[in-house]
Amino acid sequence: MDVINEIFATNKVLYQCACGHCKPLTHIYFCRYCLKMRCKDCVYHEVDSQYCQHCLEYIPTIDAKLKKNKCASCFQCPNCMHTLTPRTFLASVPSETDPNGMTTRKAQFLLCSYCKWSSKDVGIPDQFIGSGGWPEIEAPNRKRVEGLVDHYRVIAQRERMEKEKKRINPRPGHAIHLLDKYGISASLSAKLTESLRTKAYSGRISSNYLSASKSLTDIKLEPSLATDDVEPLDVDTFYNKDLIESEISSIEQRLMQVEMQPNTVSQFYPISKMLYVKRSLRCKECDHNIIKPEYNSSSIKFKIQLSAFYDIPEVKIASTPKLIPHKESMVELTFKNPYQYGMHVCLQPLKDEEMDESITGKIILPKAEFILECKDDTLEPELDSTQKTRYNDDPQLITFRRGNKIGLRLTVIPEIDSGRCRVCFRLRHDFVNSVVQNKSTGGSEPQVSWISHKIYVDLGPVIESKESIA
Amino acid sequence: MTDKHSVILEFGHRYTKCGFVQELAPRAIIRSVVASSHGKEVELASLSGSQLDQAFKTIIQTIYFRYLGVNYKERKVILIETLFTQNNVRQSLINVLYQHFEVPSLLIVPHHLMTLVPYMVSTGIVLDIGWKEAMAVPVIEGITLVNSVKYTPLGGKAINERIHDELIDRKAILRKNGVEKVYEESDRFDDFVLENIKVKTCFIAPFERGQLMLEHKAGLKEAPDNTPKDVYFHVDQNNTLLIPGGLRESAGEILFELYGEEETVATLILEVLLSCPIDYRKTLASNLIITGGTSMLPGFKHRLKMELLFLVKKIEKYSNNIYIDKFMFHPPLCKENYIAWLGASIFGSTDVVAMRAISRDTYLKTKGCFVDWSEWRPQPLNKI
Ligand SMILES: [Zn+2]
Ligand SMILES: [Zn+2]
Ligand SMILES: [Zn+2]
Ligand SMILES: [Zn+2]
Repeated sequence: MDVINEIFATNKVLYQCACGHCKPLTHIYFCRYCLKMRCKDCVYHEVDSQYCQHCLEYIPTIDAKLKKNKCASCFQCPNCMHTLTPRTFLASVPSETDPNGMTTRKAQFLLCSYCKWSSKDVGIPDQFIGSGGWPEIEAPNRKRVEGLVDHYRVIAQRERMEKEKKRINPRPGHAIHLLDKYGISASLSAKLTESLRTKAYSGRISSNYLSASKSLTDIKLEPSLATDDVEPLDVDTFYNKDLIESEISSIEQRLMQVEMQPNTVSQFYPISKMLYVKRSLRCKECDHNIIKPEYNSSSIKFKIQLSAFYDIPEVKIASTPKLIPHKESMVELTFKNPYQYGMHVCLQPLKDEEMDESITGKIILPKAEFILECKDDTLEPELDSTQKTRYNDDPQLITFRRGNKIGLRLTVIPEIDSGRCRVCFRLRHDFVNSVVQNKSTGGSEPQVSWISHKIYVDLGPVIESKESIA
Repeated sequence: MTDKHSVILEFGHRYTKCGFVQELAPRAIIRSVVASSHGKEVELASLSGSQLDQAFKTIIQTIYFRYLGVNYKERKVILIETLFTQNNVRQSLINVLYQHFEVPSLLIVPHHLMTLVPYMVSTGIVLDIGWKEAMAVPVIEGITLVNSVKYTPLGGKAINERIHDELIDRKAILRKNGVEKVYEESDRFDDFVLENIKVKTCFIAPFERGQLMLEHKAGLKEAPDNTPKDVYFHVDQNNTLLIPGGLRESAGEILFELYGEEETVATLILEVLLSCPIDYRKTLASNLIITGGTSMLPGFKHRLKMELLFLVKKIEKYSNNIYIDKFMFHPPLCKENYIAWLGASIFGSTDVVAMRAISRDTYLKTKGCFVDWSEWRPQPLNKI
């Protein structure tokens, strides 16, 4: 029970990031260069590398772009989205050397081991090994779209040239004139439309758009032709035939193949697996990497990982007291140093301007500074008592000391009659920077700085007094 | 920088489309939702204020890292928005894109004009039937007649509601954990299931059939016989629903049922024609462009054409004013649910982006005067 509580209790202690967001320590980064907390909302997210999650192949960015972020060799089941397995078998084919004889060649089809969909089911021909993989389906409108791109490019270039000419000798309203070719702003401003409309009615605007396209002699592209010959519903299929739901594709399946959007399962085609992105994070202030993964796609390690969890003391609630409104209670907080150097820690109250309405209780903080030992996995935890004597700890304040962890007994006073009691304080400590070396000492000494963090602790609901319930 | 294709984003009420210019289709069409802290899905459209900002941050990050695999600081962005994009939604997107993601430049393009691009036409009516509403926008010589735009809350959501209602009315049989019972309000399936019932089993009935259903609804006639076949629909492992055949043809009728002054998808077009200059009515009616996922239901376009021909002759309001006997449709160049996106992909591959897009620097410099994007003129650019 306690373990589970522990895991889910992470939201009880929040650290304020430099951008103002409050997050649990595990969600916060600590930039060792500018010595500030960062969270996912205040760092740059960048594509570090791309890889296929299935074959774990690392794909260089340029190839990934060419392949539209898809893996060339792995496919997904168009029916259930599981990965398809290639099945190899020996197919007999006419021999190349002997016109009458047969020979065998290795061929493949794709099979879903989960739902049993197979490329054979839907009539996709088997592929011979070494024939260069599965062919992609060509979009039927490709040529037309390419023609359209060329067509509009010429128009746009012309517009740009006109615009450049006019820039030398601007006349009033020219911006509007430029925009009406595509009607962009016209569609958005009612006032503007009104004036253009009057012009259109009186027939004074001959369409720039059309006249421009007419003179495009080098690109022979006809506008679309409208027709009143619209395909009627296939009445026989819809009214007289049974419909087997499993033969019709779902909306999700259709959208997996955006270009074709097959209506029936029989039109399915294997879907190339999408590549995964490994992200790197970069500090917005100093541009240093905060997270940088390793290139090896199977590795989950990081080259750089500046998680606050490794650098900043972790605060936890050890025991929650009964919280009675406006009465003093004792709460025990623990502080743990995850860092390789020891720390001098002190707790400071907030300045008046730092207070906010989410703070609903007062916490009385010790004036004294205390020491948090460094994290050292190689040492057996010393006995409480020996450590305690070494640091000359005040037993009234410090409840225990074990290695890099310390327990503190503090007084809180809830300042509300009902609801949750939240207290806030600043944790100030020194930080020995093992990454950034001190310039003044010629880089031989690590730089030591004092930093402080605003920490919110949610102690839980107060016990409402009997009078207020009644 | 030039070979770095701009990113195109379109945040619809139900689906978000993302991809790159000069490509034939979006890289992905995903639901316009984000996960809440409780793991539940929250629709972007239901949010506002800082929650909306946070949701946009989340979904845009997912788009860039999961579907596009590019860095946001390196790509210009083209944003498609409809005429009715709310100001706070646009403002939130602009702020998030420029300030949080620091995109180098942004160009906002209107959905209906992008829809025209693949057709190379500059006069026509764009009928967009999406999730929340149907909207008809007339464009004459490239100019949008904003005051003649008509819309009505008919779309995918309305059909979903109708499916739910009809499952109750028609006493559909639900087999729940092996026990058969009648579907009732408390069994209500979420929009995922209702949407798949629609996509997999429903269609738009032919015009004559629609008339029969309407007469039955008005109590004039018996329910038409020869209904489509019932369909077993597997909701999940434990639930199987027997969808009444009648529902399959009648759910989509909501788009065409005419009660009094209410709009149908077909009257939207006629109302647009009525409010447009007489000289242009014929050209507009001969250039209908249908877009939006809901228009992909089988039989939709044919039914729309038949409804238009019927209404324009039989309803006085229209027959006295619109003398048109032919309605012509442009055949779609791609699936109807991403035509505007394709248009932006073509449009965005030209110099236009460089000329019209507003760079981040300009945005930061002029931030104070961004009352309304549409009021903003690119003067600072011209002065340089
Ligand atoms: Zn932050
Ligand atoms: Zn692969
Ligand atoms: Zn499968
Ligand atoms: Zn930094």
